[in-house]
Amino acid sequence: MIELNNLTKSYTGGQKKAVDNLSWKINDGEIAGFIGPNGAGKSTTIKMMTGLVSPDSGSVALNGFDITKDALRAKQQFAYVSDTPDNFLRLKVIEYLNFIADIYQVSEEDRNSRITDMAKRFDLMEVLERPIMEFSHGMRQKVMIMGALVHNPSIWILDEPMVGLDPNAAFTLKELMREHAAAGNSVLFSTHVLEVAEKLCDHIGLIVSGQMVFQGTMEELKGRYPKGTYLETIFMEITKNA
Amino acid sequence: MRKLFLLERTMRKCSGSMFANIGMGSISVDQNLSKSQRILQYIGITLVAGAAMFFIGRFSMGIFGQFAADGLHTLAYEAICVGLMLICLFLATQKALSLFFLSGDNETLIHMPIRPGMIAFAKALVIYRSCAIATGMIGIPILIAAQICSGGTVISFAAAVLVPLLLPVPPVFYVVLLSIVMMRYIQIGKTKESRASTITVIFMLIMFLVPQLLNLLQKGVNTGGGVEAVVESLGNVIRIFEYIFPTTFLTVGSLQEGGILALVLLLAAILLIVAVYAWVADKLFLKAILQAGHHGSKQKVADEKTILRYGSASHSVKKAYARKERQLLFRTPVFFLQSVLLTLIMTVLFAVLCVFLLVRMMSEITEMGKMELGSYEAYIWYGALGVVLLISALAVAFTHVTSTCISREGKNFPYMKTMPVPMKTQLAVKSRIGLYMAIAGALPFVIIINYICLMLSVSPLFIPVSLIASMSVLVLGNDVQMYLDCSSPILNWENEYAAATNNHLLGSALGPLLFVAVLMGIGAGCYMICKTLWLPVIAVVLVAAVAGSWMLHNWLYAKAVKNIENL
Ligand SMILES: Nc1ncnc2c1ncn2[C@@H]1O[C@H](COP(=O)(O)OP(=O)(O)OP(=O)(O)O)[C@@H](O)[C@H]1O
Ligand SMILES: [Mg+2]
Repeated sequence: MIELNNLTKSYTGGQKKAVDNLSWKINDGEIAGFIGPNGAGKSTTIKMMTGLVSPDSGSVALNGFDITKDALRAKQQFAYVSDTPDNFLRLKVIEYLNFIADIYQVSEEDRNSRITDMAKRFDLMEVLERPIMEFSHGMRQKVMIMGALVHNPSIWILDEPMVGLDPNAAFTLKELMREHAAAGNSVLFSTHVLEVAEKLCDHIGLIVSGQMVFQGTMEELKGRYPKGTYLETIFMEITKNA
Repeated sequence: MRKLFLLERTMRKCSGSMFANIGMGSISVDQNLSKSQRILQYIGITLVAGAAMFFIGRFSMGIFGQFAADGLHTLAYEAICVGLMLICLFLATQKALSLFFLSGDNETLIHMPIRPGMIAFAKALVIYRSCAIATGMIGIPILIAAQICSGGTVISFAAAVLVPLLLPVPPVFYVVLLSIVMMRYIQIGKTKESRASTITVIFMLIMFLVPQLLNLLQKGVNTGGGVEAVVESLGNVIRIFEYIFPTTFLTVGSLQEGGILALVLLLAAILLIVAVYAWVADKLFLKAILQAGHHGSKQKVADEKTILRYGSASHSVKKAYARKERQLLFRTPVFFLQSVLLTLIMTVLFAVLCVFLLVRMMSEITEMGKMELGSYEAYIWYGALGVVLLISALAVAFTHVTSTCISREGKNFPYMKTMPVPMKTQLAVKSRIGLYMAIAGALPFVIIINYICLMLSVSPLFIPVSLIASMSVLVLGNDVQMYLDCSSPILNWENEYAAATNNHLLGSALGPLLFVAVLMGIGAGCYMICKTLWLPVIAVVLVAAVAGSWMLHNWLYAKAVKNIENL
């Protein structure tokens, strides 16, 4: 369960607030999609949720643990994939995965079976011993996703995880998200692909210049417009008016 | 021409602050400030630089006077020029690494309607600029002081200003050309080539060091050392340089009486070098870029057995973290070169030199050891302890492992911050590696000094005292480095070189030294007052040192963690 309460953040030197009084609740078993134009504040919100940026005011609770007050236990609850996949480039894939598994104290059996399973699903088995540096953008993204999931936390927080993935990998990721939510966990991810949000998410949050302008299901959003209106049109309408 | 300078400016801004190379990472104008604040900062920097130049000039006047009195004008000029060129070689190599091997702009720029030669030329200009700032700041005051001493003419004063600015051209273009040629074969940024770079550096050092050592030994046997030996070996180094850079003749010549012809020739030679460079670069640069980047690591096909093999290593959090630190440090050529290899080489180099000197002076030391020390023992204690502390401070300041501990993470940093591992633990693991390196750097010298002291029949108590004092400087210096890096890390880098420049050489060495100096001052004061009690006094000072550094250690950690949380 993810709870965001009245989050506000403005960067030093920034004229306006990057995130303005944002509240959101994502229940167990839900997949939540975070959409909004470039620079709307999605990544900033996600960074506040994961403790990377401290909010000016407001609070974040992950499975009930406050990210600032009870940081370590809150950090045990989630997996995070950042919006750049160019991390730990000098490590081999398998070294990176084991490093993460060690940090989260995953048992030897669990890690081996999870890595084997994911490497097969993401088609990375043969390149496990190559440094991440030599990988393409999409391959790096897959590695980061594997790293995030190897410790099987209950909350997933993914910042634009589909960028650069091929259709197979994107499908696998969606499948993983569905399985995870079905097991009673929460998933939050940001995306610019409205179709993905529509098909996958139980719940969407639409953010425009720091403010949450819509929360609810895709059906509810579409219900506000004449039948048959394209999602794109709705998105453009809302962002223009806000 | 406009395009060239535009390119130069862009590249300069991308390749880090110009002072970072000289170890003054913190002194650079912050572009985010308002205009008036920026002007103030510029004035501040100018004042500091001016004062530094004045002191350099004032200081070198004395030394040059000495040389002139011995009739060694030419040697002095030669030594200055060669010294400046050495600085250039050092700086240029560092910058070339960043601009040619590690920069991502090559592939972008090559698409634009710009001659490849111009890109290469702009890069060389960036390097020249940073070298010329260094040689100008150091060279101009020294040479002007020298001209004042020897009563030079207007032309020789003009030469004193021009020569330091022209001097970097040959070394810079030499390094740059070499880089362009090497780019085809070594792709430092893309794959792990630390082995190749290690071998190159070690090879160069051996080439440089072995003749010197042989020389030193021979001279020691024949003439028994003294000023002549120093002059002689200095002369040898200079000869080597004159072979590599024939323009050295002209630079030295133009500084001396009637040097106008040499000065004109020097200008002509420099122009020629630049022209040749422009021509060659235009021919080679494009090919170099196109051929670079076709090397990958040997591709092994992994399977499920691989997973089992890797998965059964030790699983402790701290060990895993330290393992990752070491892997990043040793596999990234830039970090390896700057943080590990440099320290090791410096240590080995100086330790070997010290041992040679020791061997040569052995008879004198044993002679002295037979004398009654009496009240001199206290002075030897203090002198030797001072040297130990100085060496420890230098060792820790030159180890860039801890001073770049957070900057090295770069884009990984978000992941470090979301880990359920307390920041303090992470920092402790990171700085411990740096501490070990610094200890490795300092220990050989501490041992040598201890050995000398024992030979001089100083009380064996000196051993624990010097070890504890050295450790407290090392720990404290290491902590200061960590703290400085935590308060202003460079995280948004594209190439690893930028992270490696975040070393605050001055702060990390001066802080702990000051602390220990104050303590030793108190000790010395106590000794002045009660002459006989100097051993207990040292004991008290030591206890204070240990307790003080323990407190400072904890305080710095707390501050550093707080800074990181607020990033
Ligand atoms: N480190 C920073 N310093 C200053 N301002 C920042 C920083 N990071 C983000 N911002 C500003 O905060 C606002 C929100 O940025 P954010 O990255 O959250 O947008 P986003 O919704 O993730 O956009 P995108 O879809 O492009 O990823 C922007 O106006 C941006 O300029
Ligand atoms: Mg974003």
